Amino acid sequence: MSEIKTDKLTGTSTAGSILVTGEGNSTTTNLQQGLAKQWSYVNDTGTSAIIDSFNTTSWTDNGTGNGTVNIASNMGNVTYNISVSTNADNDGRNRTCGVFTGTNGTTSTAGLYRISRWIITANSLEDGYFYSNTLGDLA
Amino acid sequence: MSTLKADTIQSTAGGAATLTKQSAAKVWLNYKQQTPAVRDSFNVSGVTDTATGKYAPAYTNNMNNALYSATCNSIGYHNHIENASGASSEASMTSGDCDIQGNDSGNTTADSALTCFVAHGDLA
Repeated sequence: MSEIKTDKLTGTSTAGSILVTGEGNSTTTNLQQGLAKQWSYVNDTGTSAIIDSFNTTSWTDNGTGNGTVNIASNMGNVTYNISVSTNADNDGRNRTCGVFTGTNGTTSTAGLYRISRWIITANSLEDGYFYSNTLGDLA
Repeated sequence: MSTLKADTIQSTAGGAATLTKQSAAKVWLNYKQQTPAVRDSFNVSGVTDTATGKYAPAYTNNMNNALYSATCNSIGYHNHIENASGASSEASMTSGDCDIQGNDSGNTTADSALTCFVAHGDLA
């Protein structure tokens, strides 16, 4: 197996666009479009804090069950993809999470997105852990 | 720092090159379900609005099989891979598309203002 060692990959035609051959050897996929541009693991219980992250400046605790992820190097627009998941508790109640646009919330911008966690059956916000990432164009 | 410039990267055999300990997403979608309208996407040929609360993104380049990982979420609602009526929910995922369903707090299917979908796995 041959191996190339380098610190940086750049497209020759377009600097930010490199194709890689897919696993089935018949199609190609864009490398940059498939890479997560930001990810974070946040403990939003008690004194909330980022446990680990990439391309993330900070976490803002906006109140019970919701907060803002602040991105270090901004996305190129507001139409990027946000994935978020949360932890479960063994008290018989189901939890879920999502991108938050509540009454005291704001829509996502290129530099931040707000996420929330709530108890489905009670329809009430609750603190917990957040695991999130973004895909899309960097600025 | 060295820089390698290339437009396409393959293995020496012409197949997929190994990206050490990295996995790139093969599909992603940002979708306004209530409109409905695709805001932005990657490797998505189209989205079918199958019913209230339900949609199905189709892939431009298919996955290699139906064994890939798919995640979805939305504003305000609980989004999940659709549980096909009475049958195995695995039927909701194929190599070419995935059926998604959103439920509100009353467990009723409902369209969300914004949903996101991601797929990881092997391309065909």
